[in-house]
Amino acid sequence: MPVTLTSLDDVKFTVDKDVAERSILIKNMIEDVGESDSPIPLPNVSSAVLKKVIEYCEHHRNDPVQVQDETDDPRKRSNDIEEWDMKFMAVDQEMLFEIILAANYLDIKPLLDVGCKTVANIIKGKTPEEIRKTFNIVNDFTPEEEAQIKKENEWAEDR
Amino acid sequence: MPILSPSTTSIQTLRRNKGIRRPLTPLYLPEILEQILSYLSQTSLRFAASLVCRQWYVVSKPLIADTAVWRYDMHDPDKGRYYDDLRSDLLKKLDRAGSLEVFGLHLNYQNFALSQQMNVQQWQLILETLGTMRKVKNIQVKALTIHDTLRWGPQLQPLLGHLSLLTSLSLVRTTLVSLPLAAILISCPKLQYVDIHMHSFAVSRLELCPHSIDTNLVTIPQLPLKSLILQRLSVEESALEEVLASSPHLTELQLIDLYNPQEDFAFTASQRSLVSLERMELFRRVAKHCPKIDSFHISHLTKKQPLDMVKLTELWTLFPLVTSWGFTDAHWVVPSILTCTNVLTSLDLKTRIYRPEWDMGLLYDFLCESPHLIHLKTACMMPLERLDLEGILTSAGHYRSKNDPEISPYDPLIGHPGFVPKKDQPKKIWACRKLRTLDMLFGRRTTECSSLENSRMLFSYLSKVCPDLEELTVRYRVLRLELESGLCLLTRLRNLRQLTVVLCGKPDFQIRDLEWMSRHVSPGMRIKQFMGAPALLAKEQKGVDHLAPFTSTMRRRSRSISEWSSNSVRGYSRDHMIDGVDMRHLGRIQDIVELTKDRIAKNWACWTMMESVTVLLEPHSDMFTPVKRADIITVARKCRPDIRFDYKRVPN
Repeated sequence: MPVTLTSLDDVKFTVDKDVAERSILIKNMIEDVGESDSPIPLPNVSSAVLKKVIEYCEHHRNDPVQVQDETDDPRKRSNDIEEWDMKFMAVDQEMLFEIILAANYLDIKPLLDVGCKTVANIIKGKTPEEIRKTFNIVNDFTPEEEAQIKKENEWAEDR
Repeated sequence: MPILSPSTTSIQTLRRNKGIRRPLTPLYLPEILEQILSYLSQTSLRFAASLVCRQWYVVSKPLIADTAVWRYDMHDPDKGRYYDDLRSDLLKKLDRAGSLEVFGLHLNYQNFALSQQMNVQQWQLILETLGTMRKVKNIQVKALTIHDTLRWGPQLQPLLGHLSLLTSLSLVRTTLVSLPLAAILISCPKLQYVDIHMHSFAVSRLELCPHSIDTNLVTIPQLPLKSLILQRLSVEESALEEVLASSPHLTELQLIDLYNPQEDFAFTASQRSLVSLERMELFRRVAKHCPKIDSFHISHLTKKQPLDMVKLTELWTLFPLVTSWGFTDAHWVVPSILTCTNVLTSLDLKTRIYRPEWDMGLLYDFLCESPHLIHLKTACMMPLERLDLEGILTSAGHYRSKNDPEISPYDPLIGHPGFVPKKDQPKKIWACRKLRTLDMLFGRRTTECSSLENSRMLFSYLSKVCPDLEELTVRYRVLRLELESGLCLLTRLRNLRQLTVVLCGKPDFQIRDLEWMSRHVSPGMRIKQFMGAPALLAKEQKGVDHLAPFTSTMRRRSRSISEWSSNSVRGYSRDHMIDGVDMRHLGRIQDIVELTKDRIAKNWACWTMMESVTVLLEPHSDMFTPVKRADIITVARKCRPDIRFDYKRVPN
């Protein structure tokens, strides 16, 4: 059965229920409301972003639901992104951030994970100054604070 | 003490500010920022993320995990004070430590009794300290490594009881007479990685639970186990199977040197082996219990020769997801494995294969045919003669001189034992251009000579052929590390995260030889002066410049078609491109000069991903002086505080 989603800018998308239910938020809404033809409003997501998110959910519609929680995994890594996802995430920074926010709001954990991994890969290998420049972040440390953090984080002496 | 209070960046504050902080980026949301930063390495967290701004500092702080180390020093004369110090140090470190490492005395037969006695005292102290701490707060330790002989009841059991959040457990070269695997997994329900690597297989026996408990009463819940590594144990098969039956998420399994406790010790190792092709039913059950296994390492695959190919094929088909096969002591299996070059992405050959054809370069040829390999660990030797594509070095590894009678200038490879290519035969380079992990032993078939040229050839080849390497271990007895050795050529490997070099003897490098590790080349550096070093370049020209360019296989080219046709001779060109890789200056000083010029011109940063660089000396290296070691570590850390630099002996 198809489901209709309405974006922030009032664009309607009709998708299969199993695709829409990759989003736990939508899944819960459908369960709460029961069978209904009325469109589901998503006031936090623009049509451009929603289109991308639907593309992701369609590609991953048959994936098994993630059972294991990776929070405790000491070997979490960001270099295991699948090729399709990598291409999917090859967008400008603004869109990347919008996708992450949408995945967070719509509760699509695998999409949120892959978005966060992509940002982590952008950060890797950069100096603090390069990171600030990339993401337009203001350095609000005093020089003393910076020096103290550097000292605090030095590698412990040899064992 | 933290500089900033986390409350300054609470979620509420951020949400209140949302309206004015437009456009909203997920980086302002601490939960998302935390998830992003959790994928970073400890190096990136310590030296980059935590220095970006206050909010990033607050979020990275809990992710920075220290290791609390407990090391017993039997030589300390003031034992009482020593214990007090250890105790207070442990308490202090555990406050923010994410992992705990316990080093006991190394077990050897001379001090076995003594170490046992000392251990009781030590263990009591550790357990008391953790007990005191646990009364106040939950201990956050997630990884535990123990290098010591220990017992389950009085030591390991209470220790694990204190560390309920544990996700990773390693028992390294330990001795534990009875190893109740299920009991361990039940007492730490979050364990995902278990690595048990016994000191001697004769002593330890893996069981389901301690003898005092009736096995029928033990029910194992579903376990989150992802990786199980067992080495040198006698194993009750039913115990192993019950654990595997409860671990449906297992992706990595290593069963190395496991023996059947019932088998007679008079049998050879392979005869007593628990895991072998003769016992196919065990593999079938493992495949059923753990369908997600993608990495499977085994030893003593078969008890008799010749190998049963039908069974081996069944093994491949039982584990269709496995892309990483590892074999230990499986000499006669290897040639069959090598026929699977288009399936394997990862191969681990733990023991050296003593077969002349391997040393002559079978491994080199295999790598030339294996484009899909991503991880390779091998104890088989890679002959340096094969890396020297132009034949610029003599069989001992020095520059060949113009008048060298050993070979004629246009047939440079003639004279290399076992490898006589035809004139104009295309040279091949490794096809595994996507390698991310490489652990390899290098050597020469003939005289082993500690020449700079040998080391430079090795580093030059790896840096050109495998540009995607992330983890590299180079084992070469006579490796040199001076500037001229070309270690700096590895700066071509932009993704390198870990570099380990293992050598024997004296790494004769000066402190200034390491300056090039700095992020950028600065004016006073030796590498810059060295660029114009006329004497070295003159020596090189005298030795090698008369050689003709070699023949390439020309599968892919980066140069234009017109250039190509004007150069081509009988279908391929005599130049320095092989299979799309520019092999110019292979093994020469000129290679270092060109790379340094490029570094200066484009001002690219050296090794931005690097986390650790380790120089390991084999145990019998005799030129090891602690003073020099400290100096070298200091200089290396000054150049690059963000890289964990270490210089030490391989532990005995």
